[in-house]
Amino acid sequence: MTAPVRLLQCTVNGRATAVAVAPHRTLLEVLRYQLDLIGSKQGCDKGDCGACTVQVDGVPKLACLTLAVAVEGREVTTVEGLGERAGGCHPLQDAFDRHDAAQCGFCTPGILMAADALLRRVQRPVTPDEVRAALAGNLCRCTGYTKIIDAVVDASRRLSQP
Amino acid sequence: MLRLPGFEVATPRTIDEAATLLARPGARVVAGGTDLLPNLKHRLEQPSLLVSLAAVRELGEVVVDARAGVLRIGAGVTLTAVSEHPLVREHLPSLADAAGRVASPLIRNMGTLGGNVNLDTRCRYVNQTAFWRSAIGGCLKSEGNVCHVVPGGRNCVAAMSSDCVPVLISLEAAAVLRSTAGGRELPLAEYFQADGREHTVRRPDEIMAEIRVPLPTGPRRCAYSKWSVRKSIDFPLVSIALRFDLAADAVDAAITAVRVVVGVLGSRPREVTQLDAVIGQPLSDPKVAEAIAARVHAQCKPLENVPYEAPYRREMLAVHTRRAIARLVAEG
Amino acid sequence: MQDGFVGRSVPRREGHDKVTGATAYVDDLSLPGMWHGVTVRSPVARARLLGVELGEGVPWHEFAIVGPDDLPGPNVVKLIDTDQPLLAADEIRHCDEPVLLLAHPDRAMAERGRAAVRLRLEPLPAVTSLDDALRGDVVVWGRDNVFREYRTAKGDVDAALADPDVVVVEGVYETGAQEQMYIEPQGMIAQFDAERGVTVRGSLQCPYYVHAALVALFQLPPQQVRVIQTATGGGFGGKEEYPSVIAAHAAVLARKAGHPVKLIYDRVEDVRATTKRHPSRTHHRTAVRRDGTLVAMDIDFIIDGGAYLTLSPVVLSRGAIHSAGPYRCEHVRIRARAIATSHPPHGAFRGFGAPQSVFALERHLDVIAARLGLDPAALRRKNLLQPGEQTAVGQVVREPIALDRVLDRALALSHWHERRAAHEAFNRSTDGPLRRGIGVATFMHGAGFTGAGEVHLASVAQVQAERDGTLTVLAASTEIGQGTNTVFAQIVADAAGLPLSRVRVGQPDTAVVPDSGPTVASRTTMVVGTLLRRATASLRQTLRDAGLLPAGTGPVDPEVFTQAVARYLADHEQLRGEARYEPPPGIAWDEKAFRGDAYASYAWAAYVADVTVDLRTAEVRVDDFVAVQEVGRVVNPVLAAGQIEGGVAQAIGWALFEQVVYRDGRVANPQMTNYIIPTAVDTPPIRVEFMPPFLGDDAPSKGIGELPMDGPAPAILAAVQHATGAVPTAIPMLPEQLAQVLQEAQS
Repeated sequence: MTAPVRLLQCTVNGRATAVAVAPHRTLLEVLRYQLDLIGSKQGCDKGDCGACTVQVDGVPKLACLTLAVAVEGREVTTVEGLGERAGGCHPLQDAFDRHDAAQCGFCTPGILMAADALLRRVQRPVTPDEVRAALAGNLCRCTGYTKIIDAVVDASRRLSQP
Repeated sequence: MLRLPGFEVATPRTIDEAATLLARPGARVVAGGTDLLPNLKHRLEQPSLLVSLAAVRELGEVVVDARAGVLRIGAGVTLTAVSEHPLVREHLPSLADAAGRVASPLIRNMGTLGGNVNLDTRCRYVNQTAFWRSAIGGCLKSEGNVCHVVPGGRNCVAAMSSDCVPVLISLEAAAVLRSTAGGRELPLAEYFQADGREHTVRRPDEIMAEIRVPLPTGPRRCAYSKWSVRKSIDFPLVSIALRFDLAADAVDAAITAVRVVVGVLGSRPREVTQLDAVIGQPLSDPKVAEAIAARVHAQCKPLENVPYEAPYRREMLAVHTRRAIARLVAEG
Repeated sequence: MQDGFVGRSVPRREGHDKVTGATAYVDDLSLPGMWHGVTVRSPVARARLLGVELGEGVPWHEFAIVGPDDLPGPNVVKLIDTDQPLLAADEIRHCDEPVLLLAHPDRAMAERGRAAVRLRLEPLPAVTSLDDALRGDVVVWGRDNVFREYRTAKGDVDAALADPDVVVVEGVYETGAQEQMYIEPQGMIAQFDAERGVTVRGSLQCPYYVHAALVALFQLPPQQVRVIQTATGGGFGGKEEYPSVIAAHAAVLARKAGHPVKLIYDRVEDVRATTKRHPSRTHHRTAVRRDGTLVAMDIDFIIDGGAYLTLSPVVLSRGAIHSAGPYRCEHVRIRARAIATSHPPHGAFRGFGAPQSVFALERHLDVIAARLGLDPAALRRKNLLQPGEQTAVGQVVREPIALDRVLDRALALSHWHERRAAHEAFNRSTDGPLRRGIGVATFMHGAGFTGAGEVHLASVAQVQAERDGTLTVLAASTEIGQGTNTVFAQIVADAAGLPLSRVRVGQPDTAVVPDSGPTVASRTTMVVGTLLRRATASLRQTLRDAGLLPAGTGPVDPEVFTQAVARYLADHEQLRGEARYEPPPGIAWDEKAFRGDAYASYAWAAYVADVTVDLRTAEVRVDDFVAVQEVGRVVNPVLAAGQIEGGVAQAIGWALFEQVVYRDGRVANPQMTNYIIPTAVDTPPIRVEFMPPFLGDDAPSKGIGELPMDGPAPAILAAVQHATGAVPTAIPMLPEQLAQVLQEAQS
C-alpha cells in the first residue's frame, strides 16, 4: 500500500526545508536519498548501532527509527550541520581528527552528534566515564573507543575555556 | 536496507483526536517508535495507519496529584525524562533507575514510558527478518502455528521485556486508557496476560494516556535489578523489581509489606508470592534476602525465548535478588 | 635517523573528510539510471534445488533476473579452488547461499520481488558440527570432508613424550566463529557496457581480487574490467574475498538490466551470508620438564571451513605455523586440517587462523604452569626464542630479538608481580563473590603472505611525479580505516625528501594503479610501503641520472624538485618510479615439507590482562589491559596505537561477548541486537606501548594490523584462571559458559 506523499517542512542544519515525503519514509532515508545529506549512515536499520544519530531539537536520536513526518516543524541537525554551525569545522570534529578518533569513519558522524549533545548539555569538561555513558548507544568497531573518548574529553576542555 | 512497509501517518494534537483516528480499521498507535519500527521492518505487523502521539502535548506531563496521592506521568514522557525528572527521582527512585537503564541513551531519548509499558513481547524466533522466520515456518506469534520454545505448546510464550513494568507493578501503578468509548483506569498488575501475541488487555483502539503511581505513604525501600551481557543497548535478561514498606525509615526497621515482580519470563510479569515470612523481619536481616531469593528462584522459570540459556538466567534471578536487597541495606 | 615524517604522528590524510561527514561510501553514491539489486538465498543448509518459481503479483517483466544460466562465463567464484558457484545451480550447500539475482529500478519493488520468489527444494542431510564432519557419515566435500591437511615435524616427538623424566600435559581448546561486524555493510555498484566492459565500485579491501574474479567471469581482457574502491567502512578481513561475489552479482545484473546496478547488503544479510572467523579446535600434548622447559609439542589443529574451500587452506597454514608460538622446542609435530561443513564459508578475519592457534597454545601453557606450580610469566620466559634459534617449522630467527625485554616491559607496566601477589592475598582473604586475577600471553605474528606467497604475488607499486611537482602514490592497497593513505604519504615524502603536502595518495582504481597485492596479512606498511620507498628512490634516481637533481637522499627544495620534474616532463611523457617485490635474501619456504622461512618478519608481543571475576554471576570484567609489542620502526605512533587498541577491543569481544549461534547451519543471531559487540561502557582502557626496534632506530617497519587479535583472549582467560583456579578452555566465554566451568571446578 502506498500512501500519498506529503510536504514535510522543517529546519535542516539551520535552513528551512520543504520536501515531499511518503509517510513510511524514515528520517534517515529522506536525509540520505532525498536531501543528499549522506553524512548520516545506515549500519543496522534498527537502532542498534547509532551510525544514523542526528539531533532533533538538539536531542540525539536515531534517524533510522524516526519517521520523517515526525520532524514536522522541528530542527534537525546532521554532521554536515555540526561543522557549518562552527563555520567549517567544529572543535569536536577537530579533536576527532587530531586524536585519530575516526578510523574507518563510518560510525563517526553518529558519534559526533551524540558527543556534541553531551558537551552542549553539560557545558564543562567531561570525564571519560561520562563520555562512555553518553556514547553507549553508538558502536565503533575500529578504535576500541580509546581515542574517541580522548577526543571528546579534549574538546570539552577546549570548549570550556573562556 | 530493511524498509518499512507502506502506511499512512496521522499526527493528532489531542487524545480525543487520536482516539477517533485509532478507531479506524487497520490503525495502530505509535509513540517513540523504537519498538514498533523495527517490528514493522521485520513485517511483524502491517498496519495501514499509524496514529502518532508525538504532537499530543497532554501526554507529556509529570504532575503530583496530591489529592489522589499519585504521581501522574504522561505516557508520552520520554524514558530519559522519566529517569531524570526530579519528582520521579525523589518519590520513585526505582522507576527512575529502570527508565534510565532501558536500551541506550539514544533509544531513551525517543522511547516513551507508555511505549516501554506496551513494549511488544520478544522471542528469539520472532524478532527476526521475515525471510529468517520463513525458513523455520514461522511460529505462533508470526506466520506459523507452532511454538519453537515450547514444542507442542499452544500458547505463545514470548517474553515481556520491559524494564519499567516490573517496577511499576511493584509500586502498584495504574494505567489510564482512553478511547472514543471513554476512559478506564486499571492496575498494571491486571494489565498483562499470558499470551505473547496479545499480552495486554488494551484494545487496539485504546490509547495509554497516563501512568498513575501512588506516592509513598510511609518509609520504604525500592530497587530495580537488571542484568544483560553488555551494559548498554541490550534488553534485560534478568529483570527484578523489589519494594519493601518499612515500619520506620531505617533498613533495620521491620518490613510491613513486600512486593517482588519479575520480568522476562513469559508474556506476563510474575509477582512473587508467599513472602509473608519476611513480614515483621528487619530488611537488614540477611535471612530476608535469602528467603526472598529462594521464593524468586522457586517461582520464576525463565524460558528459552530470549538469548542465553534459561538455567543460567534462573540462577541469576536468585543472585540478583539477593544483591539488590544487599545494596538497599548497604545504602541505609 | 633523518628528520622526516616517518615516526611522527601526522594527522590522518582523510581525517577531515571523515569527521565532517563528507566522505562518500558506496551507499552514498548514485549513478544515473541506476537500478537496485537483491539476492535470493537458500533458507536451508543443504538441499537439491529442484526449481525456482516467480510468485504472483509482481511485475516480473520490469525486472532483470539472473540465474546460473545467465552468466557470461563460468559459474565459479575464482579463489584457490573453483568449487564455489556464484549462484547455486543444482545443489545448495549452505544456508543463505545465493540462488537467483534480481534488479529493479525501485528498491522497494526489488525487495517485493525477492519475497515473491519460491525455491523448490529437496532437503539433503547437512553437516552442522566439526564432530559430524570428522565422523564422515555425511560427506559434503571430497571423500572425507577434509579441504586441506598440513603436517610438519621436527625431532622425535613420540620418543620425547615417552621420556620418563618429562611431565606430559594434554588439553583441548576451542574457539567460536566471529563476525567482523564492520559498521558499513557490504555493497557494490556495477556498470556494464558492451564496448567498455565492466566497472565496479564498492566497499572492498582487495581491488585486484575483485578484478581477477570479474575477468574470469566476463572473459574480458583485463583492461576492460575496472574496479574502484570507494571509502570503506571497516573490513577486518570481511571485505577480503567476499566482495568478489557481490561485485560479480552486481555486474551480471548490470549486464542483464542494461543499467548500473547497486547491490547493498542489509545488516542481517551481511551477517548471515558473508564470511566469519573460522571456529577451531586444537589438541595439545606437551612434554615438559619439571623446571618448565618445553621438550616436545604434539599439536592437532582443526578449523571449520564451511561449505566451500575459499581461503581456508591459507588460514589453516597461518594458524598451523603460529600454533607452536615464539618458543623454543626441540621436538614438534603439527597436524592441521581444514574441514568442510554445511556452514556458510568461513573466511578472512584479522589474524587469519593465528588467533585461534595462539589461543590454544597460550591457554595450554597456563595449564602447564599450574600443573608444575610455576609462575606463567616465568614459564614463558624460560622458553622464549633467542636469536639464532628455530621456530617450529624450522625458521631460524636472524633478528637480534630480545623477547624477554618485551615480556619484562609488559610485566612492569602491569605491575605483574605486585598485582599477582595482591590479587592472591585478596582472593584468600575475601568472603565476597569477587576474585581478581592477572594473566599474560606472549606471542608473535608473521607479517605478509605466508611462505612463498609474496613471491607469487610479485606486487608492484609506483610513484608518479606530476607537473606541479607533487607525487602521486599508485598502489592497490586500500584505506579501510587502518591508515594506509597516511602511512604511504609519510614513507614517500621521506624517500622523496619532500614535504608531506607534496604527496597525494589516489583512491585505488585498477585502471590507474598497479597490482600491489591485497590489503591483508599486515602487509601494507611492511611490503607495499617498502615498494613505495624503492619506487620513490628510483624516481629520484631518474631525475639525478638526467642531471636534473643533485645527488643525495636527504630533503630536496620543493621548488628545485618541481623544476626538475617540469624539465624532465618537457622531454618525456611521464615520470614514474616503480618497484616490484623481491624476497629478502636467504628466505626459502618448502611448501611440501611445510618447513622453512614462513614469514619475512615477525612482530613480537606480550599482553597482560587484569580482571575481576564474579563467582556468583560468572561475569568477567577486564579492569586493565597492557599491550606491549616490538614492531620494528613505527611509522605513525598514534595511528599504530589505534590499530592495537581496536584489535584488542575486537579480541575482547571474541573472548567475552561475541557468539555466532548456528542452529541447523543457520545463523540464529544475525543482528546487532543479538550478536553483540562491546560498547563504550564494555571496553576497558587499553594501554599500548611499542618497544624500541630490535634493529635500532632505522629498523624496517613490520606489519601490525593483525597482531593485537592474537593475545587478548588467552591473556583474559589466563587471568580468569588465576582469579578462580578454574580452567576455561573455550571462547566465547559468556557468563553462562564460565558458570559451568566454575561449577565443574568446584565439584
